[in-house]
Amino acid sequence: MTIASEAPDRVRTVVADPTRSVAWRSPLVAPLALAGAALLGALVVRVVDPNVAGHYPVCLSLTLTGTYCPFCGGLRAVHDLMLGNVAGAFKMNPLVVLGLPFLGLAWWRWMRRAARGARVIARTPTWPAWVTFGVIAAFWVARNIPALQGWLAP
Amino acid sequence: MDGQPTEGAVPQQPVPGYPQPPAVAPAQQPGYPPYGAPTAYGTTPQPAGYPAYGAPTAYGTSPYGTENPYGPPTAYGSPTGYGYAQPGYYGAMAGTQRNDLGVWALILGILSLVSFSILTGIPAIILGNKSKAAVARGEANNPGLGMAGVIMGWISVAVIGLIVFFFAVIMVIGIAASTTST
Repeated sequence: MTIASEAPDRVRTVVADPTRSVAWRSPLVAPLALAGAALLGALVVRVVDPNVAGHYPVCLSLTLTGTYCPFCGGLRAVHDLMLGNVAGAFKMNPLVVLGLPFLGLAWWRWMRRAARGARVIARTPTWPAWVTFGVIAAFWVARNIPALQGWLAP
Repeated sequence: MDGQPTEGAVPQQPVPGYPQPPAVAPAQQPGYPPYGAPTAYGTTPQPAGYPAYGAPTAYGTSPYGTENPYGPPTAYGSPTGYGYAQPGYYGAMAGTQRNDLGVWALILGILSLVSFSILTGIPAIILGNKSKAAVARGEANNPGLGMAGVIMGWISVAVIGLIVFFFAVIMVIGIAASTTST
């Protein structure tokens, strides 16, 4: 039980560290930085066209096994979304297009919690994790079935 | 998800007029600061006929009786955030309230290996480490899941790092070759 008795002390010293400025200790820093990084990445994917071979590394799953991973076509989908082409994005990777609103919702809840000063990751039930996994696994299998590749494969 | 009860963790209201079983192993968390909520609540037997301060509808939902394991609802979003770690609660449910961290770490880790995507690998590492910390605090009992998430996340990060490195090398070689050949 030494770890259990030491852990709160360690947390407290980090929080009370006077050498770090107050602004950087704000809980809002992490979600805002993540949103900035995501926006920057999306802008890069918009400018550097992933439809041109050689602009990005090829998916390792596709290279090694010849099967599409659940996120294959994701860069092209983001590229299409950044150009406002939702239908084209959906053709490339429907999972990414349908999943982004959920990511945005999770991010918004994170921001709201952080704005209230919360530092600990929100507790969730475990079923959304398993549902997420099940949906992605089913999509992974389905898009490698030849009969479905017209709709689901990039 | 704020203050929302999750699986196996129904907030228990005080049961009116019910004597409490004494001291359900409250000493499992040494060194944890009392959190401004009724800390003595799980430790002393209540007199019968104690006035209710919770809804009587919760009667019979809890086999252990009268403490509210999460404290007041505002404790969850409070700046310190350790709203669930209260003495007197452990032993009743053996600390499963942060098992969500390990499950998410595991699933994000699997996804990071499936697609070799650092977009899920890095969150898997972060959540896995938080899961291990929660296990050390006695708030979760699934250390294997968090550890698996951390390991798979690091593997994906390493593989992606190598791929990006070689991709950059090939790009540089290609640019050099194209400039020298023309």
